[in-house]
Amino acid sequence: MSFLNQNILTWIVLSPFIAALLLIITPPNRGALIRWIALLGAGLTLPLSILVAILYNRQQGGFQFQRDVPWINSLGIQYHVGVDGISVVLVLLTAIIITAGVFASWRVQNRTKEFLALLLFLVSGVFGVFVSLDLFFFFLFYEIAVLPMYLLIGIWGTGRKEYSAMKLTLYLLFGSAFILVGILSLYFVSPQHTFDLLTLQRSGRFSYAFQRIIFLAFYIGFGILAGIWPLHTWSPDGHASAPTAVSMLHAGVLMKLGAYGILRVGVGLLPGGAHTWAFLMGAIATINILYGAFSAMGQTDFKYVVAYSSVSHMGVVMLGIASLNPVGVNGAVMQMFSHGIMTGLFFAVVGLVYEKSHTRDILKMGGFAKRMPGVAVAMTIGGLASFGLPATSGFIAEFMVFWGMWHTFPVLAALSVIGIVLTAVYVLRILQKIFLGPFTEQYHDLADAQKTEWVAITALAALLILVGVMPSPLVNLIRLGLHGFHLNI
Amino acid sequence: MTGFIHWLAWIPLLPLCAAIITGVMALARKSERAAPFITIAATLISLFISAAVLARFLGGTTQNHLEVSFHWLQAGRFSINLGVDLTHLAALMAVLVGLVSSLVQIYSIGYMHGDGGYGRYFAYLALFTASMLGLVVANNLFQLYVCWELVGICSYLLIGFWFHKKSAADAAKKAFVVTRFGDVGFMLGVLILSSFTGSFSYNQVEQTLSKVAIGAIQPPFFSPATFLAVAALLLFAGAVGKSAQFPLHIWLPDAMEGPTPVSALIHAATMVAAGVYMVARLYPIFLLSSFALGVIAWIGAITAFIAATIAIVQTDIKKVLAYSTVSQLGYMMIGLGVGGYVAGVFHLATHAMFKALLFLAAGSVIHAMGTNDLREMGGLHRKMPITSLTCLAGILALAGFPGFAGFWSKDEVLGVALSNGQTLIFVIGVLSAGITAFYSLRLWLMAFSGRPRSASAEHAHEAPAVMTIPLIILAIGALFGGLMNFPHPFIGSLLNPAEHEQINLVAMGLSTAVGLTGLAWAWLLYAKPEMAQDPVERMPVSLYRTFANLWGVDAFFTNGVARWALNIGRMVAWFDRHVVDGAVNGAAWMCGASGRTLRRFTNGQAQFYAAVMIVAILLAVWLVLGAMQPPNLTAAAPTRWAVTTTLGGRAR
Amino acid sequence: MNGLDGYLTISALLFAVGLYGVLTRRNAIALLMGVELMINAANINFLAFWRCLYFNSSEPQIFVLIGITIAAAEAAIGLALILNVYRDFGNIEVSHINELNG
Repeated sequence: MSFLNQNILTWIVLSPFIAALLLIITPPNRGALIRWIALLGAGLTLPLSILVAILYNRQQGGFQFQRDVPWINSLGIQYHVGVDGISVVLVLLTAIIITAGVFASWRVQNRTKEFLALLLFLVSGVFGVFVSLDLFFFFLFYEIAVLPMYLLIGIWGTGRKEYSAMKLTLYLLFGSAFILVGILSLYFVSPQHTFDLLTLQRSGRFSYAFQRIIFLAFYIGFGILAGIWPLHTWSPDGHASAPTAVSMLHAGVLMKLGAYGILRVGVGLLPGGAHTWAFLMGAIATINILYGAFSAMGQTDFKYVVAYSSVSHMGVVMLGIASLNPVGVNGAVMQMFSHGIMTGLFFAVVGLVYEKSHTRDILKMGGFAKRMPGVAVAMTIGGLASFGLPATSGFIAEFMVFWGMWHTFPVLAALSVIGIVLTAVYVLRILQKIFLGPFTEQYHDLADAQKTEWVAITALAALLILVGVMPSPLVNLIRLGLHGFHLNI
Repeated sequence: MTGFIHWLAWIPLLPLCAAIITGVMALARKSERAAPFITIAATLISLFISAAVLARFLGGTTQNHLEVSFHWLQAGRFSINLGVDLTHLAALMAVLVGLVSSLVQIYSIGYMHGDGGYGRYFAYLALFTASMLGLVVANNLFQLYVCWELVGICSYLLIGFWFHKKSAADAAKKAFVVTRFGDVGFMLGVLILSSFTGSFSYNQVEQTLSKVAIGAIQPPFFSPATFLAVAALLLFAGAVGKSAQFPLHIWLPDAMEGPTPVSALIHAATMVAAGVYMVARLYPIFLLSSFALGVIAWIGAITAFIAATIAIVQTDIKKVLAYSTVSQLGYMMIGLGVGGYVAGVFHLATHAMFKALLFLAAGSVIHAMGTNDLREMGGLHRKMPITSLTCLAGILALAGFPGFAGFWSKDEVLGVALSNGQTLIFVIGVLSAGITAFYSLRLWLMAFSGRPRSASAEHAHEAPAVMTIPLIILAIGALFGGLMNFPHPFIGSLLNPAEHEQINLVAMGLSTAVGLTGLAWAWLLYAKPEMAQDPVERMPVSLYRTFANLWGVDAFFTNGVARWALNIGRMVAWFDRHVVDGAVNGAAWMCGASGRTLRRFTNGQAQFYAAVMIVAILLAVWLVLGAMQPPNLTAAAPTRWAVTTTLGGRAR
Repeated sequence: MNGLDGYLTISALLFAVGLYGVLTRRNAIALLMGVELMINAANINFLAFWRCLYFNSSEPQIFVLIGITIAAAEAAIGLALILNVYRDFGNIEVSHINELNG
């Protein structure tokens, strides 16, 4: 049992990685084999993550399943992994999305092997970030998660893919520079000269002036990945150009890395800095919510609408973090989960619609519900979660965020509540333009989703409702993760 | 009573289960024929439970409410219990909802026969009923908000039921977005109250607020009176949206795009009743702020009057009824706003009966005719007598004809307004009552009397029994609904034994006189066999245009607010693309530009490189020398000088 | 001390002549000759300092010998390069050899 306890996280990280290595040595013409290896590598993480979520000891709380192997002692670097309630939820999310993502890319024909291998490399980086308790590995995995995106978008993307890939990569590397500076300064300023997150959190009482500056570095660095205004413009272009599975993974999981980084490293290690900049974060998050929603309203490209909705929803996540209130932060993590699933579903649907209609211009579509009723239902459920309809996961997340924010900055909370109308407007607009109304006859060969695609969209849609109706398992898990943070009560 | 309590949760849960089962069946396209039987059975059982509870309350049990709740979510101070709390009001409302919903579902078996989305339709109806029942029985603000939104989305789904029609899809979207405007206020109200009181439970919130009212607790930011008014008005904002009060009433007429039985459900018992019910349920909160009550009364009065005037000029049978609903909802708000809690709820109850009846009757007509246009009808009384007579019962109830249900409740509302000194509101109410009488009889006369004005009216025939039986049942309600409170005040004693209103004879006499005048006028104008032109078109053009243009409110929202929002959206999108992203691309362009400039230096001429190198070295030497004292040329000086200048000259 | 000044002056002049050649001559061989002159100027400097200031140490002589060796090697490689350049370009004008411009 202790063997399992110590290594399960490593397996989660390695499973996609090994699958990717296997893919590299698989002959490229064995299409079915390639897909099954990828599915296995990705899918294996799902039962493992569920196992982690089940075995996580709720009485004990804190970081569990820890594994601490010294790597470079002289530099204080160690392979230290472990999860608390927050990470468990996010690991679970990642496992769900990557599995759904492999299903959604079942029919990628162009260089399938390389595509899936890169996807798996990427996701093992994502897992790595969520489980790392050592800032060195945290950063290493972070870069692994970010970099394959360049190739994935640049080669398999659509539209202005080279431009988007370049923009996204440069933007995120620009952010990484800030993060690296932050991590190194933590390392050098801490008395122990360690990268260990727990040690830093326990004993690293950093001076207030230091916290104020370094928190800002982390906020900008991670914030870029989280899509904070005005550093968000890589995301619409990137998400719009990326192939389906990559958009799912990127909007669904990668943007959460940013928010997670701000929470874990920023708020966790530099609470003083976080409290100083809370209002700024809240104000920017409010702008994100409203600005993203308005932008989404002004788009005519289906994928851009979804991409801007991510900007808006990540605003809710950041709003929750900015509230520095246990309920708000809990809501923020819930929103990470909910938005991950929801956006995964959205992009899966966009992919299906695009594949069959060959257009993404919502003004040219109409009445698709007649030919793809299943997809329309899934999209509707995603849409409902998007504007926070009760009984979907989006509602409880948003409600907790607003509730938490109300205690910290009521004015910002009141302003961002307006977002729920705007979101309803643009979500209903795309639903109406694409799926409702008279059927456009030119799309006569439109068909509903097929076998493997069903698995992806049904599972995601069902999860949205399941979590919406029964949020308490997740909320309780997240609550256990909040003890280490210095939050307002 | 203890064993009984476990059944309470099934009041909303049974229709919910039915909705899930039939929904899955509809998705799988399996045995859709069975769907109505499942949903109707569930609704009837649920109705039976709530009726049993109501019977107990009427039987004079000492308990004034039945509550059961369970813990749903906990995160720090954020703690939510979901539950069922059947107060007298909730039990009454649950019975109404269950009754109207089951009748509408039975009726729909006939009405929706052969529709492509038969199973889906009943799944939606059951979900709608479940949400409304969940709202009615809620014991906390959170559940109220949850069900509130679910009711909204169900109405979206049902109004847009024929989604392949563009107008239906538009109307559904409009209904949802407009009510969502109100919901922003409602959500803020819930946030304010729950975070201030630390609880979502009605009881706790009400207790804490009553302490605020007497000054025992100081609210943040505001003075106690302002705080109470703000909280109450934010909650009321939700009701304005949901109950289609001015100025957010614009969605309700568009909602006619849905199947007619759905309109009956929305107008009578579910969607629009939710707002009025919420105000009634949280009445202790509203009572704490007389300012808020005043606003409610005035909004109600404005709504009642404006909607009544608009209804006069409508030619679509469902639109007339839609505006009449808006107008009647205004009356309910007047009742609640002027302090007539019982009167408001009483009117809600009678209105549920006769409005469901009217819509179902209209549905029967539309089913037979294939059109909504009153101008193409006429002479239907002979073709469809049951529909005609039941509809007349509903019309007279709506018009407040003495003895019918609406007469008692409307007069009680107006009576309370007069006794509580709100004379102006009373006058507006009486005027609107006259207009109401006029347009309701106009509707009936245009549809059923005279000669048929089109071929389809010639060939209309009576609806099947599955549709007429609900009509007859509801007609009985419209006839005798007044018995709910007169002569024995059942509702009054049930809801508020203290508020025992005497019949205000002045109010009753005045409004009856005005109402009868309206009826007589309509009779004079419309009771003719032939009608070349609609007499209302002969009224002054400016007035007609104001009414027909809905007093400009709709245009204000669709052309003003909606277009404005979309333009902001476009502007923000443009701003994002060109300014924010422009800055990003600008930064990238600057990198590129500096590269392009600097690469000129890499011209491939080795001699040029050498020359640059020499110049740079000379420059460096000059700089270093300039920063130093003149070298002291002793024996070892040159070496020492070279060493110090290269390693540490500047640092010193 | 006058001796040292004289040597340094000579070497500075020689260096200047070499530099001038390197910077101005278009012919690659002349350019190479300029480089040789500069190396020799450096060698003279070494020898001058050795002769006047560090007579007891042997390092300057070693440096000079290395310098001469380098000069020879440079001439050999340089001429070989120039021959190849001549084969490719048909002349040895350095202004024509700018394939690496940016």
